[in-house]
Amino acid sequence: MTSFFTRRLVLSLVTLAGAGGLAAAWQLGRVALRPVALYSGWTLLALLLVLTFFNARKKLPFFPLISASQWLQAHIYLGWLACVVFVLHTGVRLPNGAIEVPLALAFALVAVSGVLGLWLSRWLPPRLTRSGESLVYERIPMLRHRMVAEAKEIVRAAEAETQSTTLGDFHVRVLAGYFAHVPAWLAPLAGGDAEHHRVTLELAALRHFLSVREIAIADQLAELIEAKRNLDNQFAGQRLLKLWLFVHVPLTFALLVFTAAHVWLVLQYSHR
Amino acid sequence: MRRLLQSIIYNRKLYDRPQDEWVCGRAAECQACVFGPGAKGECRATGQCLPAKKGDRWICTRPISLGAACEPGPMPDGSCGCPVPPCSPQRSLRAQRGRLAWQLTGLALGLMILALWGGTRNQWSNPGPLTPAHAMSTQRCADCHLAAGAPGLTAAAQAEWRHAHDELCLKCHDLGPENRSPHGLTGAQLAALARSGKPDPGSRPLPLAALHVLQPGGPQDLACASCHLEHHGRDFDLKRLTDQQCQVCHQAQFTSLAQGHPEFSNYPYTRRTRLRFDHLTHWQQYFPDARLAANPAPASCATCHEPAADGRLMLVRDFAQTCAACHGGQIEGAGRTGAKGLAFLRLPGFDRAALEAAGEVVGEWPGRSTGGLTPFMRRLLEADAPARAALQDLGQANISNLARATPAQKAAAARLLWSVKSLVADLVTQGQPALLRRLGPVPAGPATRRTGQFSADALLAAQQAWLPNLLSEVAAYRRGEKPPATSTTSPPPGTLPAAALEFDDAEARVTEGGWYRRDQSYTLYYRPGGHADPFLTAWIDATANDAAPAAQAIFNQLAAESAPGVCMKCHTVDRVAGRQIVNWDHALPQPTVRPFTTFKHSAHFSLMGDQGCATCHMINATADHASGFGLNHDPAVFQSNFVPMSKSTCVVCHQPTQAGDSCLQCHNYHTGDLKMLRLKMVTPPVPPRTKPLAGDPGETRLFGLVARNDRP
Amino acid sequence: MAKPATRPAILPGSVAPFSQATRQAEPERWDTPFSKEMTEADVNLVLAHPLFITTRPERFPPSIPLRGILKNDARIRRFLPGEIIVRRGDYGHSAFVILSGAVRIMLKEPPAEQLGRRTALRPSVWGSLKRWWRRPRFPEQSQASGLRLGPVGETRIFLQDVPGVLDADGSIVLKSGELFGEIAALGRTPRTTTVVADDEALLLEIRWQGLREIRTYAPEWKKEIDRRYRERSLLRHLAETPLLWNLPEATLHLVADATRFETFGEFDWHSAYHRGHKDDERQRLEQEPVIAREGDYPNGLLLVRSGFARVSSRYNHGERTESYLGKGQAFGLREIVTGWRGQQHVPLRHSLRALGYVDLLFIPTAVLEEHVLPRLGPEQLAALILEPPPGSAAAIRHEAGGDSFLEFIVAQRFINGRATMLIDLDRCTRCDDCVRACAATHDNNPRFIRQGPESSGVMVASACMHCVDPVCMIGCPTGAIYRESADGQVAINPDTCIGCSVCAQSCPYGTIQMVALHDDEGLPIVTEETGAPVRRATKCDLCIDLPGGPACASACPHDALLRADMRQMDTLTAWLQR
Repeated sequence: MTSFFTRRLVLSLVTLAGAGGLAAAWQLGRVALRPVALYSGWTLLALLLVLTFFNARKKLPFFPLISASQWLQAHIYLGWLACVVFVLHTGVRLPNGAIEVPLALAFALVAVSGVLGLWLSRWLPPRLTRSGESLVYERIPMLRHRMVAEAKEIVRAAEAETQSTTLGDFHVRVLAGYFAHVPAWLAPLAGGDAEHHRVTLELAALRHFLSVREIAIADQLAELIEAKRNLDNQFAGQRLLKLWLFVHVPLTFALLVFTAAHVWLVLQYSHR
Repeated sequence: MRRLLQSIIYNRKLYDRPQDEWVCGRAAECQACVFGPGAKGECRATGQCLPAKKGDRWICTRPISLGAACEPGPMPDGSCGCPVPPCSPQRSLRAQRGRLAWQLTGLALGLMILALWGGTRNQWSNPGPLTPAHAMSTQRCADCHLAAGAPGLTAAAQAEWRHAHDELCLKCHDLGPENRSPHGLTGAQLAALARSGKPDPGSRPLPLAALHVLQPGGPQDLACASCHLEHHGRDFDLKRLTDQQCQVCHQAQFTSLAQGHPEFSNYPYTRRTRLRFDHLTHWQQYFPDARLAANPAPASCATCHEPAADGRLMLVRDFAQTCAACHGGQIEGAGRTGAKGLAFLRLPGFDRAALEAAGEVVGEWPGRSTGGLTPFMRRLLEADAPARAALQDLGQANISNLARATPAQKAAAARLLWSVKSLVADLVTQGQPALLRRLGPVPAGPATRRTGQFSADALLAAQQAWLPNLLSEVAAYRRGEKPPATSTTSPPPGTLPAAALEFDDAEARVTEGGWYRRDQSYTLYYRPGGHADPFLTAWIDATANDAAPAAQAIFNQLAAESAPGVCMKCHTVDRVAGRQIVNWDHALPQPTVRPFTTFKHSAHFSLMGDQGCATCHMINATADHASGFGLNHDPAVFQSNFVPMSKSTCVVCHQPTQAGDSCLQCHNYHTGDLKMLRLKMVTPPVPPRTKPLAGDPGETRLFGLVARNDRP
Repeated sequence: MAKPATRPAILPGSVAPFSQATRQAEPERWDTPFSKEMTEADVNLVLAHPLFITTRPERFPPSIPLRGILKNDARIRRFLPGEIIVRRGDYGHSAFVILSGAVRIMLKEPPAEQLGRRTALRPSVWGSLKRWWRRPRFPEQSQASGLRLGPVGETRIFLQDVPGVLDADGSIVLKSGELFGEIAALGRTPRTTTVVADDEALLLEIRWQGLREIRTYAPEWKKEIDRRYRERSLLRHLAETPLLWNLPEATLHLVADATRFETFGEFDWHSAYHRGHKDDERQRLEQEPVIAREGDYPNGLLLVRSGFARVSSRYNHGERTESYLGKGQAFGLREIVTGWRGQQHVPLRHSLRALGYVDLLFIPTAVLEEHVLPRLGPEQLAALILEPPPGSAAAIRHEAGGDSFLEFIVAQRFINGRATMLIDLDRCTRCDDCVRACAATHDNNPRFIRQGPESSGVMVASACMHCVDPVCMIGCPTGAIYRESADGQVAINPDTCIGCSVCAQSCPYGTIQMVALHDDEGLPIVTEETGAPVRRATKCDLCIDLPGGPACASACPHDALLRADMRQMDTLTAWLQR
């Protein structure tokens, strides 16, 4: 089984070679007064379609087509290639046509979001794994709900048992908010467990004033708090991993529409 | 052991369904009902389970995953004991994403449809601003783009598509006859060049060599859009072309001007100078000559030469500033031996005795007049039918001695005599119009003052002195009467009334040029009056290409190097294809002709070293400059005063890093007589709504721009 | 959240933690007898049968009397002519004794559909495309057709067109007093033949536990059973062992004669395994019955016939797992060979413990030294010398995620898996593409849950592992759960599944889910009688009908998902350390 490193190396080199070849061909064609804009345009269109087909492959998983992982590799590296061809096609000029501007904008956004997504997909998972038990995203709201309920339950029971409101107050003041808290969008990029730290410290500070029984309960709570930290990490991380696709995928369709219009115009008006 | 939030104890799980579009609204509160949302996302909740009937009682069938059988248990009627309040199902994250995608697609689609089929489609479909010239000269896409359709797939169809577009360009841009061919050359010329082109393997850049394969070449493959890319913004250089792009068609390819560019051949001297001027002799003999020290010798080339308005060509300053200092007097005839004037009209000597013996009527005629007809008179007489007939009948007979002439010849001589009389009479009475009438219809070509300032008064005075009764005689002769027998001989010159003062020599009276006469020889003269004398230029131009012998006689007389006025001492006559071109002017800019190579003198002035012009123009002491002039009238046959330039001179500065050596710095792609690539006189496309007031400023603006654009 | 209150009631018939069985006077399994209908009269009737006349009840310990065994571990079943008693390929846990009537052993396998089996699906893209196109919109939607509803155990399947089948092929008829099905019962191997009731037959069905007791305490039974095993399958089994390949027929017989059978652990370990789940790993390990102890002298070679055994060595105060043995692997060979070469006694380097149930063949050292070892080539022997101790175990330890991963898969019994779904959590972006792919290929229903125990960055998702030892197949009343081939995927035939959830209860890994069926409106389908929702066992079928193999694996864009055969450690380690 080839290691990821080898695969990355080989494919990167192949892509670089391809990009270099295309650039050279473009240069030669330009010198030879060939319509390189047309050629690079068609190439770009072909690349675009291939890249988009990755989505179709995901929608029809039972086709014994190339496996999705191979598709992804193709998607990634052809994507890089497409960026190069795009630069060649636009000739490093910012387009100023009424249709070309949104077209280029869409392409740039799709490309950037793609790169960002790639980075996230490689950067986040290990962190999620290390954070603790991996949770199914759809279940997280329920788990949070249960967690809030359980914390409340524990504290209520403790109050009834120990006739002391210390933990109850603490729960009202800190815990209730903490358990109900939903992390911010970009929390994973910012480490994301500041809240957890704060709460743990406050709980630790509280221990000095607790009875032996209460300390046992505090330990339960600490366990819950720890669990909540993982919950937040999993939630925020997975949400981010799904979020970037909200830019990447919808914009791709818009990009296709703009591309179609652009191609139509070229066919209509091109002098060559 | 770490706390596990999701129980992984067996069979307490249900399958997660991430592929479903709708999620129960209560899922987040862990109260998702067993039925789940409907296909359209409607809530279908009734209870947490469908209670089952065991025997006579109902039992709860809530799945273990939802906490197994519920506390209250089913109602007696079998409905669920823990009814679920209806929820509003949520779209799953993925479904939301799909929805967003479709919305965005729809938006984009609508936008595009509006843009491309809406009223303002032209603005939308415009991929970028045009350069000002085209922006001003075009209003509709259709001005430069084919109305409809797309190029076919076959190579032929696409070539045809390109041609059709080029025609649209050529509708305005005049590229001469070979408008789609490289450099405007004909196929034959191209083939010839291709044969002559010697690829220089040493300096041939590899990529270009490779590209030779890529470029099929040939005129039909080049479209205007091959080089001129529009819609790239206002400031985009439409005429940008890299050296490699220039060379890709060429067989002889090279890396730079220094490396591989062909050596110049006798550049820039392609013909003899129009003015015969020997720089060598002037600089080495005349100017240093002490005897001529009185006349200021030129300090530098700039004394005689100045750049043209466009700074390209170097012109010769006018005569007054240059040659006049030394050669000014020569035209009026200063220091000239012999007559300084030209005999224009003369009363020829007739053999009066013979005529009268033959019974011809002579009337008043000076007995002592000698000499024959001047070429000018002959030209004028030949324009008069009887005179022409008389001259023919006369044949070889000598009018001044008709002793052995036949009676017919005598009669002819008499008719000639009267013709002369009536010529004089006409000129006296009618002046220049009579002269013009005789010269006949105006010949094609530049209008010249053909009479050459002929003075009727001067002739009148002469007539009164020589033939006082001429007018009455001619009138009678024309009526057919016998002339009054007045004094048969005109009074001798001596009998003029004595004057108090002495008359100076007639010739000396007109030192600045003009008309004068000599009574002794009954001749009217004209003395040239300085440079560009109207009489000389007029008669030389008029007779240069006139085949009539009389005319040729005049031309030869005037064009002789020693002739009064000495025009041809400097001005050369080119014989090209049987026509004679008198070079009154030195080389002048020809704005309509785009040469293949252009050079701008003014741009180089600041770069000249102490050598000055000689940095490039080095006098060639060995050249036989004179051989190109004198009897030779072929401009191509010459030996220049100057050494032809060599590439090395230019290469000194024209390196990529210094003055640059791109092809287009010195060469034009579109060459030939292109009228400055001026737009053809098509009615420029002006939108009806913005109709200009008057004088069509659109047009003037248009040509203004074009003129600016087309500076090569 | 795990609430003890909602812990599921484990169905009767499969509750028996092995750990307690030794301590109690009476086997706990007798709390839930094999059949409640078994009366004293029946027991007497059975004891009167010639087969049991020779059996001496006094040989049995007082805690496990013969009557008790017959009463609790056996039941009498009446089969009608043509009714299928056992089917080839089924995993049974009981043997049959013919009390009256006759049964017929089919030498030639009747067509699958005649046995109420689903015909094996041909993989086809077109088919799956059609399935995808017609995929139901509601979860678990199905026409409730072909459902045989009814209480467990009374399901009867008849061989259709009996005369036709019987005329077609030869078959052996067993008469009264004959015993059959015991090899499958004791050896946990699939039934080798299909047996059909010839005419109305009365059979005594003895479940595995009882049979084992009888074999232990009734020597004539043991003699009989072992004889039958020897002549039926021992030779074949031995011949399959690489070590004995180059033995001549006669010698092989000698070895076979000398071979002893050993059984360790709990037959239905899986139920006990659930109990022990919360215990810490060390306790669990100590509960595992020791087969051979580290430091002892090897007095014989141990060949694993079925089940699994843990190879461990003492490490400080605990036991460290070195490796595990599956079917066909041997234990102690190196020590024996080294000793034989060096003319000395070499103690065992590792201990061998039964993981759940393990069935072993014991070949005495003397026999080996006399017949087998001399025939081995020098290079074979050289390979078998102890020092240095190589082996996959070391490899796994240092490569495949270290100790923890090995301990993990052994402790959780994932070694059983042939297609265990491993998810590399460091690569997985939790995009659920695998789940969606699974749903897309299974009528819009996922067949696994992307969740499960994790260790060293690898999650074992709860998808059917298609075990080497498929305990889920034990006791399926209709044989709806079956194997495509002897070693192939385990699949459930939805048409014959009656939703009794025995398989779901038996699966130690909880990969079989009982789902409630829905109709075209997406409302639950309920039974006419009780109105209880109709449920059906569902699990991963490894995409039998898909050309591309399992959709989940090929749908993972990030190379995070592997269906691993745990018997091939090298590929596993390679995958783990990409």
